[in-house]
Amino acid sequence: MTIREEAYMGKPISTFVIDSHSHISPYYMNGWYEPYQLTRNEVIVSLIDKLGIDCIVTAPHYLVLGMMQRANKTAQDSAREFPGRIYGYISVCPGEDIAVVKQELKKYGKDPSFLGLKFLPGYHGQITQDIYAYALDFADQMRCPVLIHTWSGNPPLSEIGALLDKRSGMKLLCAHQGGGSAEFSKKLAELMKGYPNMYMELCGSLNNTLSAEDLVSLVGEDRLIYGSDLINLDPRYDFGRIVFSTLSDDIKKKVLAENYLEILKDSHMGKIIKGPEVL
Amino acid sequence: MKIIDVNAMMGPWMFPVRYKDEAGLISYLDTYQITSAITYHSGAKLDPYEFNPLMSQIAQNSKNRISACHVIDPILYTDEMLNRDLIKYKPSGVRMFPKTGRFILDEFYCSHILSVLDKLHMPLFLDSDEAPDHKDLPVLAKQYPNIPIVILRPPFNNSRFIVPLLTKLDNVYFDMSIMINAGFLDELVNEIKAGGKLLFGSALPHHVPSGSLGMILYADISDNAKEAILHNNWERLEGGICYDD
Repeated sequence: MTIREEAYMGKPISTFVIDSHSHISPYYMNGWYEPYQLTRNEVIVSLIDKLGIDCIVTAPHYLVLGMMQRANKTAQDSAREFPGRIYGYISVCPGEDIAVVKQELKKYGKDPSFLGLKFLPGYHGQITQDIYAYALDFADQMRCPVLIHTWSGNPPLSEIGALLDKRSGMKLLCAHQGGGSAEFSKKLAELMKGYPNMYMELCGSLNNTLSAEDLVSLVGEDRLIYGSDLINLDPRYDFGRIVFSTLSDDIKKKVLAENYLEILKDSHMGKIIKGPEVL
Repeated sequence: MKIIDVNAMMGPWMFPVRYKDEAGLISYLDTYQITSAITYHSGAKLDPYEFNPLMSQIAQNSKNRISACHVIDPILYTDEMLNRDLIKYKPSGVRMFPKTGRFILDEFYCSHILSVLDKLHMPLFLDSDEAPDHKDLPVLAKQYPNIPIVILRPPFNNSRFIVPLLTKLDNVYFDMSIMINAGFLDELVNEIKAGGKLLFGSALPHHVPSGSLGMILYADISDNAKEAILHNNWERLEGGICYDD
């Protein structure tokens, strides 16, 4: 049975799936809403089970308000609660003192349940802030992924690309297909040609007129990565964009997990574990 | 599985789109296993007198794959003309574009249109960015209680408007295609009991329906609720049109 056939039956798909962009814990600011029970980890895991998503990588919502330490502690506790199902990003909040940021990177950089870093520029100001530069240097040394928010040009894609000018070890996941629209996806695709360690993450594509097939054509099947923005956004939407697409199963497997596993291969941070196997 | 798409377009467009003609539309419906689509002709925004009848003709020849939706501009129709045309061409719904068409959709400006739609129980489709604002929509819905008002593609973070509109007004409906606040669709159906007022739309040819299919086919709701959203709710609205009176 193909992935598409499984999907039309509403069955959990049988291939391995990593959700590379998630935010657990409550979030009701700025008009956001999710049913309160969905803020519980066991309900989130139950939800992803129904789709066949094996694990999520998360930066808890405390990140948004600049609560860096609480976000990281919540991610760590959640990963302990659901090992192999929930992994963490180290949330980096430029509103914190640099000493706190250094302490958090040191502390969680050694924790195998943390796979990379998450930045929220735009919400947190410019991507060019010194604290981000420090964290990026850390990520470059660790050769880990950094998931960076951008939406409608805030922060500008050119500034995001420039972060990689002297950092070839880290892997940069540019969130929201570069900014949520065809215009920004095309700009990101151009930028990615100059940065082999830059990737397009999928979530929030509801207003992007480009299909999954179009995005693969733009950036290549090895550089598009599935993420959902759960529990801001419903994971079923961007999951549907892949599984109901006309892409081949081989390409779907890459987008849904293999590309992310590839960027973790030489990382010195945590790895994804499937049963007894380190992937 | 029967899927009726309430939000499709065909015809020319200012930018490249996935298809322009009925063969292209049907090809996309086939790709995504969609049974039929309520479709307006983009040309009817330019000249409804020419392209609304053409849309009905295309629908008639489509072997039930396409149903016609007419575009109505209030300055181009009297109540008598509209009543005559709707009864003659029998579209499955009408669509209005108040914001881009530069008119206000309310009783003062559009009573000649709205009274006809109300008499016919005619579904009225409005893109969310064309619809009256959330303050004015309840007034309109109450003044014309027989018009099913279908809001297409409401964006995320509108939950605080959508719940009261669905629960306090009998004739306001929503396309659920990008209603993607996490878990909201399930809650609307299972807890708020508003599943009878949700419809499925693709926004073809500008968008593809894959994400919306993910939302509905993986929703944690009963099979009956899925069937309602995918076709029964629309069939109830379409069946309520009073052409015979």
